[in-house]
Amino acid sequence: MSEYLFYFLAFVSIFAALLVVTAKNPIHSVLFLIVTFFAIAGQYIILNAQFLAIVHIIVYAGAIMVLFLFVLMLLNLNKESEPVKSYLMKGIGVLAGCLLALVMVAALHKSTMSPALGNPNEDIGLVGNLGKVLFKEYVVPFEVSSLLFLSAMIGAVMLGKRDPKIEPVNEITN
Amino acid sequence: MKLLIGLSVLAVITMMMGLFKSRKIVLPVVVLGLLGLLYIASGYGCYCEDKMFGMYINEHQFLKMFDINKNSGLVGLIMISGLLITILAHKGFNYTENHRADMHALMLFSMCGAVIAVSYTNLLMLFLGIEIMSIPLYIMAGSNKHDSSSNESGLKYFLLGAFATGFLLFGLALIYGATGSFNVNQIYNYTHNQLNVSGGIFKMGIVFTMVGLVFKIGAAPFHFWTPDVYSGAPSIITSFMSTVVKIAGFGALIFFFNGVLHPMGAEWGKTFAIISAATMILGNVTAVYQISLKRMLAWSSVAHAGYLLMTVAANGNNVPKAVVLYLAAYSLASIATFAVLITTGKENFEDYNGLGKRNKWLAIGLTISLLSLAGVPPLAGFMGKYYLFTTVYEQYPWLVIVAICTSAISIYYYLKTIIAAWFKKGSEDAIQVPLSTVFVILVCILGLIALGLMPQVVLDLA
Amino acid sequence: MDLILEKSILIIVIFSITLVIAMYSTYMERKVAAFLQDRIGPDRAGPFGILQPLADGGKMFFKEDFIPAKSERWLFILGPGIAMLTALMTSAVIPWGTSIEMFGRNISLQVADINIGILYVMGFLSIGVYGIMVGGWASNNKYSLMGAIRASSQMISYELAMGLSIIAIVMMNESLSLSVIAEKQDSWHWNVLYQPLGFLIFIVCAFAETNRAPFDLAECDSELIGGYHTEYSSMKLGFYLFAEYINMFISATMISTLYFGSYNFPGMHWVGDHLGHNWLAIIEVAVLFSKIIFFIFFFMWVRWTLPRFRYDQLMHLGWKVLIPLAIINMLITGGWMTYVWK
Repeated sequence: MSEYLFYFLAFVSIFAALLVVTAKNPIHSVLFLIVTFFAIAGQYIILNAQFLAIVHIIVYAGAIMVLFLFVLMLLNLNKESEPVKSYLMKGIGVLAGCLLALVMVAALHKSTMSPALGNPNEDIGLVGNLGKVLFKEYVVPFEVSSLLFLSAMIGAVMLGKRDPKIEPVNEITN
Repeated sequence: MKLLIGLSVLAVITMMMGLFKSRKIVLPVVVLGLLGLLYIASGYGCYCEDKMFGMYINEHQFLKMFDINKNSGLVGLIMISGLLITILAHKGFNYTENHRADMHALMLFSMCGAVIAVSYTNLLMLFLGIEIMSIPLYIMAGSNKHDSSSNESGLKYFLLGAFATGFLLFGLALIYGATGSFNVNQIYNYTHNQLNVSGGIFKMGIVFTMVGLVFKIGAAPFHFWTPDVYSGAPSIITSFMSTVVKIAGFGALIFFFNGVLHPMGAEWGKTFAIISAATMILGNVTAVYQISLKRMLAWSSVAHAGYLLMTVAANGNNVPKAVVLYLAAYSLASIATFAVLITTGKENFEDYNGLGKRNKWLAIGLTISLLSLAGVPPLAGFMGKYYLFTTVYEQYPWLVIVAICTSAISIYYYLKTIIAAWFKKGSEDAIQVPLSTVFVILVCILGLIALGLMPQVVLDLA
Repeated sequence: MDLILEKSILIIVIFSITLVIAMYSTYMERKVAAFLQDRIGPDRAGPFGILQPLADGGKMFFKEDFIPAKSERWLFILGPGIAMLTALMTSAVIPWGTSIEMFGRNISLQVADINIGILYVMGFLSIGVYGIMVGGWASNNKYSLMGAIRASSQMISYELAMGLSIIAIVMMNESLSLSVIAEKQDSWHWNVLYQPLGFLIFIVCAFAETNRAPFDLAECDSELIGGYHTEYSSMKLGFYLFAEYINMFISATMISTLYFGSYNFPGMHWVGDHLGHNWLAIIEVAVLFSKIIFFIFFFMWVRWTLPRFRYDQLMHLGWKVLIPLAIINMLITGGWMTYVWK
C-alpha cells in the first residue's frame, strides 16, 4: 500500500517539478511548485513524520510560495515578458541536465542501503522525538542557526529601507 | 565557542548601536571588540579543548595549524583580516552612511560564519557556517543601492550562491545517507575502514559537496560569478570577499577533503588537479586582458584559488602549513591593494597613472602588495608559493610546471599596474589619505616583508 | 471495518452540520444586521424567513455561469474549488465532544486525533489564501487582483501573530493535539483565564484571517466593487461566499476549542456522574455548539458595529502591535511556566 503511494507521490512530485520548469507562465510555475511541495509532504507522512509534513506545508506552501505568487502578481509577468533564449542555450542546458541525470543514475542504480545506517527509529519523525533530538543532540546547530536568521533579517530591513537622500527621485521614477 | 559567542554578541551590540543613532562610536567599538576577542582567543580562548556536545571542537589534529597561541591558524587569520578590513571601513563605508552600524554587524555575522566554517567537526555546522558567512555577503554585495552594478553583483551572487548551496546541501544529505552520520570522525572512520565506500550514494555526495565548496572559493568551472560580483560590489566588500571568505572557504574545503576524506585521496585527487590547472590558466590568462584594476584583481583571486587548490589535490600531510602561509601572504597583499582602491575610489588602470606623484604611501603599498601577489622575493608571496610548490611537486610535477608558467604570466599584469603608478603621467592632484588607511597599509607591508624574511614564524607554529 | 463505517458516518454528519451552519449563518447575518439596524430583515420565505437560505441557494444555481473571455479559464474554475476544499478540510481534527457509547462501542467524536492537530488547522488556514489569490488573479480584473493581493498580504501578516499566540497555548498544554488541549481545560479551567492577552490577539487575528469586518479589505465594496470575486457569478460566487462562512464557523470553533474550554463546562463531572456518559456527551456537544454560535454572533456583532480599517492601519496593527505583543505573551508564559508554575 505505502509502496504504491510512494511511487504515486514520487511521480506526482517529479511530473509537477518538470511542469514548473517548462510552464510558460510564471504563475503556473508557482502553482505547480505548490503541488510538488504537497507531494513531498505526502512522502513525509508515509515516513511517519507528520510534524515535518505539516511544517513543510505551512512554511513552504503556506508562506514562501504565497510571497512568490504575491510578487509575481504584482510584477504581472506573463508569456510576453519571458526572455527569449536561443535554442543553442536551451539545448546546452538540456544536455547538461541529462548528463548529470545519467551520471546520477549510473552511480546510484547499483547502490544498496549502507550497513552503517542500522535500523532507524520509526517514530523519530513524531514531534516529541524530533524535539528531543533537536534540543539535546543538535542544540548547537539549532542555536547557531539563529545567527543566520538574524543576519538575514538585518539584511532584509537594510535593503528594504528607502534611503532618504534621493527619495524624491525614487518617487518620480516609480 | 567563546570566540563565536563573543563575535555574535559583538555583532548584536553593533546592530543595536545603529538603532540608537550612535554612528560615530561604532567603528571604535567594533575594533576594540575584535582586539579583545583576538586576545581572548589567543590567550585563554583555546577552544580546541572546548567541547560542547561534540559539535564544535577542534580535536582533529589537522586543523591545529598556525598555532600562534595554541589556536587554529585560520581562525586567527580570519580575525586579523576582519580587523584590518574593519579599520578600512572607516572610509570604505562612506557610501552607505545611514547603514554603517548595520554593515559592521553584517560583517561580524559573516565572520562568525567563517569561524564556524573552518572549525567544524559536524557537517551540519559546515553547512550553517557557509550559510551564515554567505547570506550577509549577498546583502553587503548589493548594499550600494544607488549603484546598478552593486545591485547586479548582489543579485547574481545571491542567485548563484543559493544554487551552489543547494548542491552542497544535497551532497551533505547524500553523505549522511551513506554513512548515517554528520560527525566528521565517523565519516573518517567510514572512509578509513573502506565501508562500502564504492557505493554510489557516498560518491555522489562527495561530488555534490565538491561542487558546492568549489563554487564558494570561485574556482573553475564554477568561477563565472567571481569577476562580476567582485567588481560590482563596493570595494570594501570585495576586499572582505577575497580575503575572509576565501580563507574560510579553503579552510572548509581542505578540512573536508584532506582531513575527513583523506583515505580516499586517490579517488578525488585527480579531479582537483584538473580543476586547479584549469583555474590557474583561466584566471591568469583572462586577468591579462582586463582594463579595470578591480576586475583584474578579481581574476587574479581566481588564479590564486587555483594555486591553493593544488595542495588539496596533493592531499599531503604538511600541506596546511604552506596553505596558511600562502593565505596569510595573499590576504595581507589583497587588503593593502584594496585599501588603495578604496582610497582613490577609482577602478580603471588609467586612473592609477602617476600615482607615485600623487601620494607616495599609496603607491608604495600598491607596489609591494602587487609584487607579493606576483611572488617576487623576498616578499611573503614568494615564500608562500615556494612552500606550496615544493609540497605539491612530488605528486604532481606537471601541475607545478603549469603553476610556474601561469605565475610568469601573472607578473606581466601585476607589473603593468606598478609601471602605471610610477612611470606614466596622469593627474597630479594630491590624494588625501586618512590615517586609518595608512595604518592598515603599513601593517600589511610590514607583515608581507616579515613573513617573506621569516616564514618559519608561521611554519614552526603550525 | 467498523472503524471505517463509524468514521464515515461521523464525517458525513460533521460535513452536513458544517454546511447547514454555513447556510444559516447567511440568514443569521441578515437577521443580526436587521436587529442592529432596527429593521425586520428577511421574512418572506417561510415563517420568519427561515427558508431564505434555500431560496438564495436556488437562485445561485440557476444564474448564468459566466466566465470572462480573457480570464485564465482553469484557474478561474480552480479558485473557488480550493477555497471550499480548504475550508471544509479543517473540521476533521476538531474534537466535538469526548465519546459516545453506542452498540457496545466507544465512539470518539473526533474524526482524526492526530498529534499535531493545531498545526494541521494552521496549515490549511495558510493554504486557504490560494483560493482567493488564484481566483483573483485568474479573473484578469484589476479590482479582483487588488482584492487578492490585499487578502493574501493580510492573511500572511496575521498568520504570524496568530501562530505566536497559539504557541503560548501549546506551551501551557504541552501538546499540539487538539483533543489533549480540550481535555486539559477540565470543567472551568478554560485557557482564556490563563491567556487573556493571547486570546485577544487570537481573536483579532481570527477576524483578519477570515477577511471579516473590520478587516474586510479584500472585498471592501466602496473601493474594490466586490474584491477578489468581482468577476464571479452563479455557484462559483456561491462557493466563495460559502467558504467564507465556513471559515467563520471554523474560526469560532477554534476560539471555543482553544480558549473557551471546548466542550467543557462547569459542573460537567456532576452531570457525568448523575446522568451517565452518553447524556454527558450530548450536553458537551450542545455546549460546544452554543459557544460556537455565540462566537459567530460575535463576529456579526462586530461587523455591524465597527468601521473598516484603512490598509496601512491594518498592516501597522498586525506587524507593530500584535506580533510584539504575541512575543511578549510567549515570553511571559515561558517565564511563568519555568519559575512560578513548576
